[in-house]
Amino acid sequence: MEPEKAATEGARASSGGGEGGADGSPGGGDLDRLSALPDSLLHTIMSYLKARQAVQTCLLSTRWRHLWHSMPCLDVDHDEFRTAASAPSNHHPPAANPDYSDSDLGSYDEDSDDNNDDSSVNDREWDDFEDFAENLMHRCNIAQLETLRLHVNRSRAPRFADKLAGGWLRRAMKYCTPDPPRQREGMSHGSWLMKRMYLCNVALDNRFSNHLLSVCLLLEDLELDDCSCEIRSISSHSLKTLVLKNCRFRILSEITSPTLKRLVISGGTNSDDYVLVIVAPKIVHLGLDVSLRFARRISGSKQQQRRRPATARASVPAFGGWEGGGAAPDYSLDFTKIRAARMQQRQRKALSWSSFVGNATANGVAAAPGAGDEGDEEKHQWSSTASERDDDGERRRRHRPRHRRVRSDAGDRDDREPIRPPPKLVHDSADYYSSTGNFT
Amino acid sequence: MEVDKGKGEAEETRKVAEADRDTVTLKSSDGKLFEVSKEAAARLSTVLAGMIAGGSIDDNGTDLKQIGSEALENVVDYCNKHANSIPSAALISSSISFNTAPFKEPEEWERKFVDRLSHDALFDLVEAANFLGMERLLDVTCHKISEMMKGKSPDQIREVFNIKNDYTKEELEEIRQELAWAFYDD
Repeated sequence: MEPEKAATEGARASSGGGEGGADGSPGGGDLDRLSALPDSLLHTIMSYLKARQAVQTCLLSTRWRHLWHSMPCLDVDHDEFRTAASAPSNHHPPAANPDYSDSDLGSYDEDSDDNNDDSSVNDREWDDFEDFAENLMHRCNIAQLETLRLHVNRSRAPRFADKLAGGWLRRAMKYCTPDPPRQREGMSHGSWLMKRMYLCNVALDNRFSNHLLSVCLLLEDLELDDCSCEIRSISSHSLKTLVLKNCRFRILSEITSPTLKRLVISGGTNSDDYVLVIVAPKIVHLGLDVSLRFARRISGSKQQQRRRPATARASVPAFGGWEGGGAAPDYSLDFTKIRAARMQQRQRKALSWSSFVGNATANGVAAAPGAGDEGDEEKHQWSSTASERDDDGERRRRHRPRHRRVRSDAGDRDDREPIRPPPKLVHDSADYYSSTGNFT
Repeated sequence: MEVDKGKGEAEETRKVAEADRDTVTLKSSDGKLFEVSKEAAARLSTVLAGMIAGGSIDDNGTDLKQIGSEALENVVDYCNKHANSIPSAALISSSISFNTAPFKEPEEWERKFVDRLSHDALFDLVEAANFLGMERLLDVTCHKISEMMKGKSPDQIREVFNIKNDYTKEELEEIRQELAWAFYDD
């Protein structure tokens, strides 16, 4: 870049550039075919890169300087910072984030020693990621994104990382609107343009679910992975695919989407005091791979049927719902997949079922408070494999009476159907499930 | 959703096979002619679908002046391969988890298809796919280009793509300061 100091814009375009990169370029001749592509294609290309590298493309040339501002997809990935941490060099540019330095360090010091690496390296990795993610989500208009992927790696993050990540998202929900002049007013007007969202290890609360329902009006795909969710309902008017993997729910009692076609719940927990009612009249594919304890409290609802009694439609079969259904749906396709996925996860006693529901209707509910003994046994086996969840469970057990009261206060929700099938049926279905779980 | 689509596609291809060779002839900028199945062309390219629906297909070769013969050959090759590929493997693998990337990962044959292309041929194909409105082919080719950038420093990327650095030293320094949060390990 020697001669460029005095160069004007016009001279630059025709000059050979100071970098001398042309010599080594393979097959491309002298042409820069990449930069010649239209913005939309460069955006597509950048959307396959992780967010930090995508931002760093601004250094390539003036053509690239502002492209990252308007990227439609952000892939904010904790793992992208792994190499930075494992690099031998120890120089952390102190000027990078002077205002951050020791604000929160104390809160996660104790966590860093479960990693064999030097703890300061681990901290630095998180600092870098946090600084990056905060700045990026501050500068990009999240409301204009088509896809957002926010991935925090729990094994290498401090203890409250999921809360921090939830905070970034909340900030975006509060301030980002697709209409830039209105930004920073603190009020969201207009809907977000987002179509897909993937969140891994992010703490979510009811503000998120409200946002989902009232602002993310175009959202079609949502995947929550390993998230702790203090949310009561997941409701949307546009969601088509919903995947919930290993999420720690506590009060989830409703999944409602008139457009939902695919629902996968894999692993995870919910409080015993809530029955999860799923209202998804257009569902095509339902996959459940959860503990018996959780599955017993999942139910399809007839809410929609009551409103439109005449329409023939597919609905979610409740746990046990196929028993009286006569024709057995074909589970085989999914069982192989679910089994494979389950092997990858921890070995826990789980039950799995899923189906391609054709015209099956919801006709049963799996709330069986009478079967407490078996439930506890199940929980015990579960918790022996995952100590954290055990803690969770203990806490829940201690608080159970209070939750019960809350539940009975809200007992007038009419459309739920806490049917209690005869105990025998429950046992039958439990047997059925554990046997299908081993089915090969 | 995808199941239905897959079945639909399979049926479509069967129909085409039954209805004896229903093809479209395309003409490259340098006058070479290529034949492609009408069904595949309509399904994979929004522009060709529009032309077919609008009846503006010329039996003696529809002129595509913007596309060279090499790129058009690749486009036709892609269409034929796509019609013959079996989507079932991808379907099964997507049944429990789904990709949050803007598109599904390229399949094995698509990967091979773009891997064998030279640097220039790849960009010719991107431009052709863009011109013809071929979403999937665009995704596959753009994905390939991003793979060529992945994990590389700006200097390395400039070298691979022959990008001329037209910043001044001062400008570079300014950007680095402005976006310090995005540059740690330099």
